[in-house]
Amino acid sequence: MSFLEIREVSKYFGRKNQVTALGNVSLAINEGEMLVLLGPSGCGKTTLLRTIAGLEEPNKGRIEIGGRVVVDAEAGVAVPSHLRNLGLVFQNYSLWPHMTVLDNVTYPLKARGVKTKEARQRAAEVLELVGCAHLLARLPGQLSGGQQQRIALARSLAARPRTVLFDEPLSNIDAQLRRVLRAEIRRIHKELRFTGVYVTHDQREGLELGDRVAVMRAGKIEQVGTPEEIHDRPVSGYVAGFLGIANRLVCQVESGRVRTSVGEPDGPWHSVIPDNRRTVELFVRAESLRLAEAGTAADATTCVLRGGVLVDLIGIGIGNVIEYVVQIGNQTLFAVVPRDQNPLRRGQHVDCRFAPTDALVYQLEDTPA
Amino acid sequence: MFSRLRSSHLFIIPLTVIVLWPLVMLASRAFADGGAGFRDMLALPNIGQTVAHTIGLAMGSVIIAVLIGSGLAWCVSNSPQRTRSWIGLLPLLPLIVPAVAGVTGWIFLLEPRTGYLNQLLRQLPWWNHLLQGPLDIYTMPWIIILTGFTLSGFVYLYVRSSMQTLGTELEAAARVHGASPLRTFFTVTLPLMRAAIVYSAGVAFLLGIGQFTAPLLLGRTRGINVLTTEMYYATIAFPVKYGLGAALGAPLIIAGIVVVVLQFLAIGEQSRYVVVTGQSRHAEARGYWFCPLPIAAFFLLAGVLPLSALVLVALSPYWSGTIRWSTLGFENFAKVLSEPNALRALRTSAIAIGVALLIVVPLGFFAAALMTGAFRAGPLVRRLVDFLITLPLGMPAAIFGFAVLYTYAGPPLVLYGTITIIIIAYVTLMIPHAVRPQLTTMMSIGKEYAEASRVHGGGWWRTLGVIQIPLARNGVAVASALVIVMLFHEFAASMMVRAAHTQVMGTLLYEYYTGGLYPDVAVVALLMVVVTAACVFAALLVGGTKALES
Repeated sequence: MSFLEIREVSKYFGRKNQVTALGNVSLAINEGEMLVLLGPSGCGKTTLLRTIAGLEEPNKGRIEIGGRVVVDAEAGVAVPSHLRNLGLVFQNYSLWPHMTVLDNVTYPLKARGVKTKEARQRAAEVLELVGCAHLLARLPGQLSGGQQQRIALARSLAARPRTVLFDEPLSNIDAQLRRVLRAEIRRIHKELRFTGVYVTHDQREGLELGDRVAVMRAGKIEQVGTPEEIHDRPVSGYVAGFLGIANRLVCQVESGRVRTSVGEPDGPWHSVIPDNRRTVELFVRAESLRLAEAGTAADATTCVLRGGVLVDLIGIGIGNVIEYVVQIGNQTLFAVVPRDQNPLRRGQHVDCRFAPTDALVYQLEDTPA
Repeated sequence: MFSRLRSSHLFIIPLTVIVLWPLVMLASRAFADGGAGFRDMLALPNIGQTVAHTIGLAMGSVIIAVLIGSGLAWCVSNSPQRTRSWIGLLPLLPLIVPAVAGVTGWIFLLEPRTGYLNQLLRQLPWWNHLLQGPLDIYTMPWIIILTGFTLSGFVYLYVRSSMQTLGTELEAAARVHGASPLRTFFTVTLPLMRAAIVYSAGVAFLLGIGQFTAPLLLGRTRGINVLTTEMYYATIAFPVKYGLGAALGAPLIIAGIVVVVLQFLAIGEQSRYVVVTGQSRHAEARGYWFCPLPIAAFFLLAGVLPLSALVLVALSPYWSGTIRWSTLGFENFAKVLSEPNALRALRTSAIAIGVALLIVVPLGFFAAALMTGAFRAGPLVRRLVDFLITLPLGMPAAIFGFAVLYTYAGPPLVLYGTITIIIIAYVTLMIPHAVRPQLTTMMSIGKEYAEASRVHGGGWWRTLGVIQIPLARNGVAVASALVIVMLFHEFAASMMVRAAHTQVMGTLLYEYYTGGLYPDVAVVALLMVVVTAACVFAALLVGGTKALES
């Protein structure tokens, strides 16, 4: 049963509407679900979030929240933001600088007509939830970035809205703290079970937080699925590239022979690349790429790329893995292997291998991802 | 965005009525009766000379203002660091002296026979045979010089703030790579300042072409006229020669509109309102010891000297040009402050300014909120508002005064001689100045705080009252102070809309002046200075030093 339903929403910007920020986006988000909108900057994810919040109005389409139409461009319906029963965590916190933490957090409650005493009580509870009960009397200017974001989170939750929106809330926070806050958002979401929409450009954050993830590209949704689906089976080279799959080869099939951007490969490449395709892009995760000394015999079921030179080893001393950097012609490949396996040396000639099942193959698009 | 009518769109109606209607009325009056107004204008004696004076005054005063203003800005930036912050305020202090007070101060200094400075100069051996002079303030060059002094403060403001935004690092880079201070100035500083200098010169030209105070007070004696003074003489005729005045104003209206439209085409919306960000700048540690000297000299000339003359005359029983210390006293103050005329003018000023303030500052707040997107409006609406709030900047105050007089004095409203007509003129004139500081504040605040409020359940009124107004309070305070100060200074428009029995402080001063009551003139001028200074001081307390720069 979907709680937040987005139907064929379009949004144009600019003089004569020549810039399409959202092109016919449809999406259904279930009650209590955390949906992550993932994509690079400029893909329209923030515009979609702001459209849900009522801070932008779509040129086309409609949005329903909890069975109530909040915007319908064709019918001329646009419920103002403050009547949509939302919470929103802004990227740069946007705590009102002239109000104390308590005033900031009680604001959504007072705006909904809750009596001051009760509002304070409930604000204290939600501040407890984010671990900031001791900051009540401070002004936002006196808080660290992490504290400000916790308060912003508390503010968005204070009135217990059924929908909470997150606009890249962790991107201004350092890596260490980001991990902690990510875990807290997960915990709080599990506890309160609001319906969440979370915008981020950080694929790791997106896959970690989302019950489902929608990858956006140029104003459209490219793929929607569980984090596992997105991670294991990206639907396009764009998604695969955005997820950070390290090795990308362009392959051509000419009269039954496979040619890659780094020469002619060995092994069962035909089983990987369909015959009816002319030019494809092939992705292999760094974790799936294996290295061997040049010339060692490979078993017939693995695909092999020859002529590589090991140019660098990264990450020695950090964790239990080593990242090898291999140069074949003008192509750079990456392989991550456990630290205790094959101790190759810099400058050594190597072959790169991978199992056919580890390859992700897509028709090459005109526009490079 | 534009499909539905928003309440914010209704806001344009009063704005349009206030700004555009008088101008349209005046322009159509100029062409009425088959251009009778223009025929009257061409029939004026010396009309060619009047036009030449107008253009000469504008060009001459702009040259003086640009040279002094940008020179002062450079000197402040290159002063020794310890002195820089307070020395940067010195060139602005003369702006506290209302133009009408400054000009009378200079009359007391440079009147050919009795001017204090002339008497002093005649002590010099090579001039001691003269009975009057050597300087004569009632001439075109002095009208230009004094106007140039007034305008150089504005040029200084633009160039200085542009220099501050830029910081000193680009100059430092030139110095590090081997450029001498002089080469740095000509190859880096000056090219970077060019935009600010050209822009401020344009503004100064518009201000110069509409100058009224100095030509009226100084040119009257010798019949030196400019377009705006001729307009004034058209208002004191009976019946008022509206056609003639409108025809005289038409070229200035057209020039103003052309400049504003060009500015619109050249620079997009909002980019004209530069927000000075608080970037950390590494100020050059050492400056040149001689740099504060020109600043001090300007401060002395434009501020201290005319003010001292005013004080001396105000304390003297009559203005003779010689100072008799034993006769100095406060009798003139007591006399003026007990005169019904003066008290009435003070009251009229206070009411007119107070009511205008209550109208124009909220109006400015809404305009600024609309421009920054804090209130939503379509792009077309935003551009229209932007145009309407900028237009009065391109129009000389004298024209607006005349246009308001023509539009509202007669039927159907018949507001001639009322405080209401003064208030209308004041509101129109002050729209740009009420918007700008609030706009700057709101732009630095951004619209996210308002969005955060709306998303978290704050309705329109709650968002306005609890979030937007408190956050913008600095801008509101600065705008209020600016409006009070500028209206207290206001002379040109007031002269057009006043009536014999409805005077404000500035026009009362002119009455005393034409009546030859010089000590009374000085007293009124000083009162204006004191009130202005008090307002500026209050604004500084609220808004910090940045407030003055608005």
